[in-house]
Amino acid sequence: MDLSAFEHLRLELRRGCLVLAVLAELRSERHGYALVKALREGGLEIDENTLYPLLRRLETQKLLASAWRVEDKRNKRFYRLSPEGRAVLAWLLEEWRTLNDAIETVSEAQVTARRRKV
Amino acid sequence: MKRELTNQELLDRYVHAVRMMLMLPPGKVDDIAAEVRSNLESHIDDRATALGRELRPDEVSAMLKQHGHPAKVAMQYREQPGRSLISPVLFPLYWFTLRAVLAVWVTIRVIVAVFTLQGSSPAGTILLAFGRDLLLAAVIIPGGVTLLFAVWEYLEIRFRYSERWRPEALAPVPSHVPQPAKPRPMVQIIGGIVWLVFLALTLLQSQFFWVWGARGVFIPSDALYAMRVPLWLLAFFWIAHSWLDYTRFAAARWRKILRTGIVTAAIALAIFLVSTGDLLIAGPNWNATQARSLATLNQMLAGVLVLGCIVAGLALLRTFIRIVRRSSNHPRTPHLAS
Repeated sequence: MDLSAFEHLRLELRRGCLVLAVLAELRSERHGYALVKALREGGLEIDENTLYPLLRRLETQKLLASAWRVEDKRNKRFYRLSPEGRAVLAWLLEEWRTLNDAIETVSEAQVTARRRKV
Repeated sequence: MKRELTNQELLDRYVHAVRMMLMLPPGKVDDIAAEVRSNLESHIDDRATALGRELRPDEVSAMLKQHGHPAKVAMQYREQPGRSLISPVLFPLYWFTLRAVLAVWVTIRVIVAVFTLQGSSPAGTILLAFGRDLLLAAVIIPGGVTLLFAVWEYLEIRFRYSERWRPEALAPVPSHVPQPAKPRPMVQIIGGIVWLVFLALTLLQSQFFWVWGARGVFIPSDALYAMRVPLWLLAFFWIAHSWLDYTRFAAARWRKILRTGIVTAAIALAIFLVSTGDLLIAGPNWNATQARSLATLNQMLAGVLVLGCIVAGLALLRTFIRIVRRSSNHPRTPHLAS
């Protein structure tokens, strides 16, 4: 099996899921590093250099809002979901469920067909 | 002895390096730099809390190294992180052009070197000049082609001209679409007949060659004149092969065998003619002041023959590789006439 091809496909698959996970996590306000930790604890390992610029892009798209605030004597930038982001997240989650069901159906149909042949 | 940097100094240097590489408006640079610093400080604090002590400078250094090179961090923050000098859309065409230009240049330079070797200059000097030109070309040609495509890429980003198209403006489909294999044999047949008539005239009328050049200033060499019959036969077989290709009368395998034989014979004949020296010599109306032009003409003729041999040799090699691949992939598949 070509592992590099698998790795490439895996990264592609994760890229789309990552936005969804970030939006879902930011239903409650967090700063960048806290978000990294939350995602890791949830099982989503992420490169920080990918996440922080992604947050800025989502903010540019008005899906997130941010504000600088002091916490533990440190100046930190906190992100949270904007009202537009909340609506988009709901649509994306709906899309995610539809896709998930479709994948399940397709893969299940393949397995059933193979069993019938056997 | 060199002083060890403190944690703060390491962090300051890292953030400063990111700032320098962001290449964004000053307001954005300050904001991003502050965020990078804030995230790294949170990371350091978190690690320190886990260890129950302050981090040592070597640990902070290792953490920054793990975070990534400042250039890589800065690149992720740019407005167009995917912006490349030549986009994946243009890249196949760029790669093809680069290879084609290099191949043409190398072929021409090899031919020039071969002919220069026949002159009075020492071989070492010629080889040195060849090596120098090769090195220069290895820099100039990729640079020039890359620049050309980078400009194309820039214009595409700037004006989006590839998006300014309408399906209605596309060329209509011709009423008669020729089969892809048909035009080439027909061109070969016409070319072959022209060549055959020309050579037939030399067979029937030996003085025909005297009309070559302006008022017969040059005539073919003895070797070229002696080879007129094999040349005529080659042209004849080439037409026959092209006709078989056009009509597909014979199986593809036999057509390939015939073509391989003709091309091999043509290469052998060309090598023989080039090795005999000049293909054209002074004619009855020869003028000594035209010596340079005759030499140039001879070099051009020989160059064309050498180039033809290289192209034909590569085509033969490709045919051979295809046959080997096909036989190894489908050892039991019977050959079908196409």
